[in-house]
Amino acid sequence: MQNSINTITENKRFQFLLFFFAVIAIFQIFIPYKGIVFLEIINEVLILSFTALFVLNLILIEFKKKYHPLKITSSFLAAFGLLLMSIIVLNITMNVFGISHSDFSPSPGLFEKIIILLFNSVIFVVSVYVLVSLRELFYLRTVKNINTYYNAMIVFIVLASVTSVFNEEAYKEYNFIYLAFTVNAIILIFLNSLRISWIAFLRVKQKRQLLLVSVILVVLSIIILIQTTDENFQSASKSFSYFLHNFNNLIIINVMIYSFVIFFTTLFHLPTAEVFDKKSREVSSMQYFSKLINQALDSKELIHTISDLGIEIGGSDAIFLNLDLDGDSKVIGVKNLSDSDANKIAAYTNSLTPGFGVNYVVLKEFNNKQHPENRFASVYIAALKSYAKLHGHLYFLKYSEISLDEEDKKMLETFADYSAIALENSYLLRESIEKERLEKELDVARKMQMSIVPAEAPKLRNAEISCSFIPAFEVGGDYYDFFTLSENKLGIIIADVSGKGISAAFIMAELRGIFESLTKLKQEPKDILIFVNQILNRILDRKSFISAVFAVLDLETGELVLSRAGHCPPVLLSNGVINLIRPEGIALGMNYQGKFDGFLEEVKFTLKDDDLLFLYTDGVTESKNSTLEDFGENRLYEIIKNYGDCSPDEITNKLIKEITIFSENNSQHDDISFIILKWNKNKTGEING
Amino acid sequence: MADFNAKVRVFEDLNIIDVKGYLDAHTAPELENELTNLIKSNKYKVVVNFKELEYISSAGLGVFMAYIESMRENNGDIKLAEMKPGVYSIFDLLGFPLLYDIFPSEEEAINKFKQ
Repeated sequence: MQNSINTITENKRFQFLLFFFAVIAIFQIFIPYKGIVFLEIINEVLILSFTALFVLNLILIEFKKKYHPLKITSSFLAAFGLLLMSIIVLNITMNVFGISHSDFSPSPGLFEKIIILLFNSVIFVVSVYVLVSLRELFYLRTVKNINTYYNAMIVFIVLASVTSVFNEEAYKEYNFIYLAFTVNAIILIFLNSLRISWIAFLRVKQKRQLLLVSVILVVLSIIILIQTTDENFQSASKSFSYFLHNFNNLIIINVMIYSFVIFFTTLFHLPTAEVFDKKSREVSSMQYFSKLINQALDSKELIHTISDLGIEIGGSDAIFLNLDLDGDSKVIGVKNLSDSDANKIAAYTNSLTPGFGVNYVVLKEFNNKQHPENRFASVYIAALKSYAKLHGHLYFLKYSEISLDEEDKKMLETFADYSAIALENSYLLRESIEKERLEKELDVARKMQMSIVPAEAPKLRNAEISCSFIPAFEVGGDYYDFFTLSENKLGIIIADVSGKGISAAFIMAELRGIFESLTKLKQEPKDILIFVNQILNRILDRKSFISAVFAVLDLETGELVLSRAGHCPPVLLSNGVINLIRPEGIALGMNYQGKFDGFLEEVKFTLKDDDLLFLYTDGVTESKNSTLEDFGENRLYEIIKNYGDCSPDEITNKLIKEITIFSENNSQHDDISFIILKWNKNKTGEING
Repeated sequence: MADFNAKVRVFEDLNIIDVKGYLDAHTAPELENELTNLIKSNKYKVVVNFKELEYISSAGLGVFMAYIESMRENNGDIKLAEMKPGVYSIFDLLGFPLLYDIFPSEEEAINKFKQ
């Protein structure tokens, strides 16, 4: 809405100006005001206010605001060219039609009036355009408030223009007023013309251009000023308006002085321009570097930025990066040339300078022999090195064979260093994000595992059970569980899924579901494991397997039936003697063609009072100490034997303590889980009975 | 973590991989790479020499399960040789000897291929 209102008022303003112009044109052409002082004053006032309104309007719509000072200055050439052209056209027209300057005044005919109107329109447009553009230049890069100077200058220009009529023969005695204003105006023009700090910020090339432009402008201004003293010009202009005539003169003087100042300033700036240029680039590059460092989040964007800034800082015509990614070098961030060209140049320079001993390569030979369409004449190669690690190389390409001085090289090397640090940061950040993701994943896996494994051992008649589960950081995939098969029968499963992490935890979860449902249908360990193996065929990949022991205990008789699928053999402590229960059997998931079923055995024996059954996963025996020695079976058997008389809970505590002491200086690599079952039918009978 | 290393030697029409160090979930991809390369170049007869292997985890064992099947499908095999007792007992516990050929010496493994 705001915008549309603006455009409407802008339109209205434009219409109003157009209307104003029409009034002036009608006044000029149809009203014979010459000689009538009152009407002449009205004419001057009309033109003065029209000029003021026009200028204010242009300023209001921020005319030319975004243009480069060099462009604005150059546009004066066109404006003055137009003015000169119109002067020439005026002279030619007057010659062709035989009009003498005396015809313009005091009573010109209609044709003359039209010529006057057209000619003065050009003067008007040029004056106003130049005034507003000059204002842009004055206000450019100014730190201090220079309003006062500028406004004073405008006031004096207007006053001098208005009083220019006193310069005429008729009012000679008041001439001093006009002169005073004019002198003041010119002094202020000169003072304001010193506001040219923007020149310092131009590049060397631009300064050279500006020098040329300012010379031409000075010459053009002088030519036009000489022309304004010509009688043809004077009469054509003055018969329209004294104000505009003098206003135009002062504007041209303004440009002349301004150009003059620009010319000398630029001339003195030029010898140091190159150094200044470099320094200013260095300063701005410091900002670039900090920009680089802050872009670690997105490595693609970072490489894009490196290319962009590299071109700017290096003053290069094209750029690309050749990065070492996992041993392969890859050309990326290619700018201003094709990927294939970049690859060819990289291959060529690499063949020339194995190990990149040389940084600067002239591509003459390459262009002649191998790649005639290549536009680049030279390349500077900077290593992308951070913390003594080489990430790759940056290639700065140039159309010319301009050799680099030490400072240039230092600049490029510094840029490459910063780029390398930024790259390194982005790699590290990616790694740490990945690591964090993995840790979160492992967290989920551990929680999953903890919720699957029963927190407490079941309370049984005739037997006492203790179990323990200590998950490893990486989640090992251990699983144990207890199932009530029937009123008297307890199923015990202990298993170890191969691999680690979330995938092992998922398989565990599935395994629990499988056992949960199968134990409702079957009671024989061998049958159950064979079924499980068949189901796993659809679940496990070829690299995964599960070792397991499934045991069924008769809670009345103490009869134990057990099958072992590639798992650590359970330990039976009976009368102080260690027995390993090791029926034949390969791990689940290793073979689906009947070999699993074929090899799987089932053992059956009856537990006596105080018999102790120890089921475990290899996390127990593979616990390692600081010298990477395994805890081992022997230490385990020894502990079971020594504490055989204790309750399962006590043995659990002792064992965990022993393992902890043993592996004190080493982290836990695998889950540690075990189940201790002690048969004590008569004892509990005694207590209960 | 301890290091792992897998090097391939060529012996007649066989390829022998010497494995060294610790083979676990972190180092298994290195061995997988070697075996994948052999399959890519249609080399299906492989002997793995375990002489210098200190430790193998379940993930390490999984590598052999996956690749032995691929080799066998192409009339080849991976035969395992010269395991240290500790390493062998891990294979043994899981029932590997029932499914795969494990030999005390590399020579015997090579001879088995020639039969």
